[in-house]
Amino acid sequence: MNARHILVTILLCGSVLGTAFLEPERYEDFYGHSIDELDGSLSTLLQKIHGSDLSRQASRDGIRAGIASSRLKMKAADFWMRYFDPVQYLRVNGQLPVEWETEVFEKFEKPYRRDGAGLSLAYQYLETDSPAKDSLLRLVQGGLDAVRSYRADSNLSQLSNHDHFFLGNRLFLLNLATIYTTGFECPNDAAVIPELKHMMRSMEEVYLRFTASNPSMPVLPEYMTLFGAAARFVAGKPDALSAFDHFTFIRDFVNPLFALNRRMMTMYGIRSARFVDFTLVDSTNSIFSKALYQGQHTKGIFSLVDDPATLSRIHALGRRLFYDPILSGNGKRSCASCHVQSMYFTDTTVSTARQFDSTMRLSRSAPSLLNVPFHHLIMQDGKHLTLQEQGKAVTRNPIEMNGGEGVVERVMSCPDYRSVLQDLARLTPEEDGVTLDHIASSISYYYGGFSNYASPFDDAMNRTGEVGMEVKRGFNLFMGKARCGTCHFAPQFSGVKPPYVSSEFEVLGVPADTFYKSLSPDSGRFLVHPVAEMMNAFRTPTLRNIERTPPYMHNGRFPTLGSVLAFYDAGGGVGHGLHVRNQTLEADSLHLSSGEIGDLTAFLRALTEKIPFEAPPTDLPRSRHAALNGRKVGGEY
Amino acid sequence: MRVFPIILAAFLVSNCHQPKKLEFEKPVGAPPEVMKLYEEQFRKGKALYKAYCAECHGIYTDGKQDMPNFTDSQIHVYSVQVLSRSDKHEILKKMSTEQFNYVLNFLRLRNPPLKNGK
Repeated sequence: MNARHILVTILLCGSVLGTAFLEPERYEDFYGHSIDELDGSLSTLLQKIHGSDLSRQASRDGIRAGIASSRLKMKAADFWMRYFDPVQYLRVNGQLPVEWETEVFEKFEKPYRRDGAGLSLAYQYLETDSPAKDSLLRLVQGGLDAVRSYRADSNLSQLSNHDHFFLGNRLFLLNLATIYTTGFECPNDAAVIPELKHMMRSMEEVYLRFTASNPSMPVLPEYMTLFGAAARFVAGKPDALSAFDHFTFIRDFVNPLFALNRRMMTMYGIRSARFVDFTLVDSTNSIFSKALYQGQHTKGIFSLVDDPATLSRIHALGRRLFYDPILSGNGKRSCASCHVQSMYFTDTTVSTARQFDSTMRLSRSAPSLLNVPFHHLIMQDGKHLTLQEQGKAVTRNPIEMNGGEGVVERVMSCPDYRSVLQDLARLTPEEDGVTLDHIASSISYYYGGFSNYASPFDDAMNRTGEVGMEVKRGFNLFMGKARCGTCHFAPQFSGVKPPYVSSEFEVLGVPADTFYKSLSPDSGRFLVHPVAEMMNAFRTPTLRNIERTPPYMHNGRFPTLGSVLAFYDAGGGVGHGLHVRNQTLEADSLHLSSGEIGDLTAFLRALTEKIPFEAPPTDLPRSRHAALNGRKVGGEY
Repeated sequence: MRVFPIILAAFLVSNCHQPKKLEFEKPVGAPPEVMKLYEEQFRKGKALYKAYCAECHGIYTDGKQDMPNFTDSQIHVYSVQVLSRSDKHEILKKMSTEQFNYVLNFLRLRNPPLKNGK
């Protein structure tokens, strides 16, 4: 006899008798009840810790059991807590002792410090050598305080607006495809699938309660049927995380449920009105669609331009400027010098590119330009907020293109550019004339278009194609045993996780040399955001097209996918004997077999997108300055 | 294509005969480079506002009925709403991050409040 059967019985009785005394608990009351249960469970846990002796194994086991049962209550209320207040949620179930990146307003706020708290940290702390009672109490108390905030009016008022249900459900489904099945938020691998089973059962009840309380906007029967099948699929799996079939779960259940949720949003006229999911596109049917969320405005200063004819002029302009070394200080270097289209918009032939003076090397590998529009923070240290800003910065950077003050003037010395740019500048009232912003924006609009293509893996998830068994096994390893999915989140397989408003930064311990003599001296994110936790941290990149975009890591240290997988398999820098004070990658070995490495590689290959690359332009506009007319298409880098 | 600059020019001409006045709040004691940034953001925001916002939200025009003309608290609420790209506001949904910031800074900084609707 489970809760669902009881509920269905009650619902049937209620409808048959139509009397008040047998009416099921209202949806709002059910929410309150779920929060109360979690509150009660955490309070009991606190009492248990108070009365315990942490030096005794039996005491620690008792607390561990208390954490496990509190986690189930937490999972039952996760749907609401996470959507209503993601910041408080990190105190209920935070993963890091200190959280720096902003969860919701990454683009608009400086990162601020939050001390983590909650059940994951308490569990991890209990596993340390000699846990202190007051520290453990503080972690659990922090979680309890946060849980109580969910009774505040600000959250209850969200509950009274129906929109939250379908928008929160969208987030729930996205997390089901990325987080709930990977152990990202569960320090005990053995508990991941049991917790998922519990969560699926709890959600069925949430759906039934909502429909009973809101008969005018019911959860569709098709949705309920499919979700029931998904819950049975999960319930029928063994408890071992390594045995879970992530591929089938997402393709056959989560992604179709996402489409049905979208259909309900349309039917009931629901649009996001929250800052927590402001980047998600309400009309998207699939998680594996490039239209799932918006990271960057590739049109930049031309964002308000819609006219197709004008846009195609901007595109044509951007294409020529992309290949034109006129942007650089010596007339020899263009965007295409380091971002070679046939090499998936990077340079696969060097670890890092030459500096402007051609003698020294840059410290970082040129990133592929593909899929950069799906990052909120640009560059590997997240230095820039927009592509427009990045385009201007690289043009001016003395060790990169060294364009100097005269870039706009040089471009405008070409009558072809001049006439287009002058026309376009009339569309941007905020600028008095042609600026570097117009140039940078036409370039980002040009290359941004190459990010709109799907990979075979996307096709498989959308059921418009098939992938081989080795790819499916590779994806299951990726999400399970190999622990890649805990940092690389679908659909970009980057550090941008649902609801896709911010990026994660990680410290892997990448070496300066492949003999692991020393750690890479690059401070990474610390250069932008100088706090201890960000030393040597880098933005988690997308894995799309990864097979075609070697070399790997910020410094291009690893030449092949095999060498990168070996690096991870052995536990990153620490696993290779380097001293890395703040490595966020687990330092123990993953124990991957050669067959498993092969499957993982097959999955990564299936992320290579079908991009119609095109030939460079055959010539460049002539300048009024004869000295500029010897320049070559793409430069002479 | 040609109509747009003409409308803009008409705007500028109609504002010419007004006495030149300090249009925005200067930050007290700010260094010159910060002042320059303020002036630049204000100028760009004003241009965007006139071109894209003023038709409905009257500051330079009569605006439309039932459209807010932005008190300080409205700007604040508006910024949160717009950061969420939430409403059906077609222009703001499209604006780049830079453009959005220019307009908001213009609205925040303008002083004294310019012609306020009716």
